[in-house]
Amino acid sequence: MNYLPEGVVELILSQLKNARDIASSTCVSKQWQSCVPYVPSLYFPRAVFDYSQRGNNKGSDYDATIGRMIAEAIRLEELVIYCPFNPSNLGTWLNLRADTLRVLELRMDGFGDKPGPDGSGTQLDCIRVAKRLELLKIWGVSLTAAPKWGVLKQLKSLEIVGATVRDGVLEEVVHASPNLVNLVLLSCEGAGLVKFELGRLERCRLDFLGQGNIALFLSAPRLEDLYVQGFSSIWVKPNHRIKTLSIAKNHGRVYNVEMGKLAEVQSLYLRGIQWSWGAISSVLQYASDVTHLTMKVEFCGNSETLLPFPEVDLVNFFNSHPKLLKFDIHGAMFASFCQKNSLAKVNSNFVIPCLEEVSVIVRSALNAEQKLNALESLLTHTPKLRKMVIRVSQMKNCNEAADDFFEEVCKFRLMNHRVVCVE
Amino acid sequence: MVLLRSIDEITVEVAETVALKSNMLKHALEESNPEQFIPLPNITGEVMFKIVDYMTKQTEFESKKPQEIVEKSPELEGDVAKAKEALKAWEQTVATWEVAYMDVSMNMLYDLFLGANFMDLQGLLSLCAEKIASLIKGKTVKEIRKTFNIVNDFTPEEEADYVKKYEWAFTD
Repeated sequence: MNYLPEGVVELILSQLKNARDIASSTCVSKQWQSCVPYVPSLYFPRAVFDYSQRGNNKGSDYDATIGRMIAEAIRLEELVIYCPFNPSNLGTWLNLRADTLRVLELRMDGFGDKPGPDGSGTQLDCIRVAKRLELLKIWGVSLTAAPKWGVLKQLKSLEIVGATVRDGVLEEVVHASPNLVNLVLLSCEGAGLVKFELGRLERCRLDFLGQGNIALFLSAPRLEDLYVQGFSSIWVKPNHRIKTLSIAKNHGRVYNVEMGKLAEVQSLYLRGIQWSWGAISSVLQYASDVTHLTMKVEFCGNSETLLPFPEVDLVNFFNSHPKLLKFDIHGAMFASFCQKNSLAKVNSNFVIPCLEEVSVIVRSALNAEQKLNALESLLTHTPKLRKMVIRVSQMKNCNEAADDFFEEVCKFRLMNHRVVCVE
Repeated sequence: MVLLRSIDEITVEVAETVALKSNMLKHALEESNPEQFIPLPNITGEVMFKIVDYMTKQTEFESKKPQEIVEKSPELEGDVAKAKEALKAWEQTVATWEVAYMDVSMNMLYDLFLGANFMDLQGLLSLCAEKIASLIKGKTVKEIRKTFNIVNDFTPEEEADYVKKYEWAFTD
């Protein structure tokens, strides 16, 4: 392999990203060394300098190495730094490659909003020089002060994971990146209100920690995928293109969801400990054309008191969601189908036309007879049903009634074994 | 049919659709007489057969590639999902074949790489580059030189300078 033609070594080295591999390649031979300046990616993993046997951690030496490698990679497009580094050096590094850098990923270890090297602004301000940046991902950052990025016109994807934020800061960050197509904010905390408007946004994932009430106001006419966790009040400007929607609140309550007609929605996931019934019913109403529905909300109610779901008429429900193909029903929703009058309208003309798969989680043996009746109804009136999975988990009342119920469920399964299975 | 001849005088016939995968052959066919053999001066018979194997299989895969359905209406939604699944399965089949294909000796890898470069076969060139890169990953400088039989042409002073600058690339 001593006599490889021009461009061929470059092609090989362009497959490498790990900084250690690139450093090794630099020292192999003169031909390899001459190709290293053209590597498009540099990735410094968390433990990349742990190989060094220099004894004590010489952070400044490592930063010097990072700086040298960035300086040598004259066509660098992608820079990923997961190892510890001094944020004051970031500006110098980014200035070197401002013309070529398209992807930047940094692990900040809690830095971010401290003053920059010249004593003013924040440590993240220097990102503004990377005008060609298309993807920016930052881990573990403190955003209690908004970085001054000017306008990053080319930025299409922004991901921030593990951030402490303050109200208004996110709005400024988003304002600096008006052409975002993808926005991900995970494991963020500190905000009470998240509000922004993005004309080109198509995918959005927001995960905010904490039990409190956080409100979301979002305007994004091209939005197709929306996943939110942690918000108690959600307002999305109507006339969007949402196809996949997931709303969850792992702690606390969801009070209010307003998003206008979900005309294009195909998949809908609702999760949480407690939602107000008004919020649940309005979302279900907006999503009348949904094909895949997962309901995993445990209780409803607008206050501290956890309430079961009110009675839901089975026929009305399925008539209002005629395109349902797949339905995952958690205990609380299923129990609402099993009330006294839930099956009142069921007659021989009733059909659930498209349903192919149903998954039911049953938590208690309460209303056992109605539960079995509901299961029977689902089976009888669903001509296309291929699979019904019944998960009997964590039975709350471990007594004879529970055992009897379980026996009945097993009988039901035996009678319909081609379609029903119990887990 | 297209006629190819390796440096060691071994010949092979290849269908024209298959031959056109190589940009070099594409240009050569425009200029040559169909009765004549196209010489491959840098490629031995063994390597030539291996490359022809690649081109033939790629042509076959292309002809079997599932069509992607662009979603036009809600009624087609089930079809779109099925088309996506079929495409994914096809990609997996191609990937599995490529892994088995690239399980070759170092010498063959080198010859294949040069052959793909000469014949301007982008797909095979990328596969070879990826394979070689995978053999570089995680190795120290000395290990890389040994794996690929590369002569160290740095002066001792230059070498010492690199050891100092990129010490961690030299330690195990």
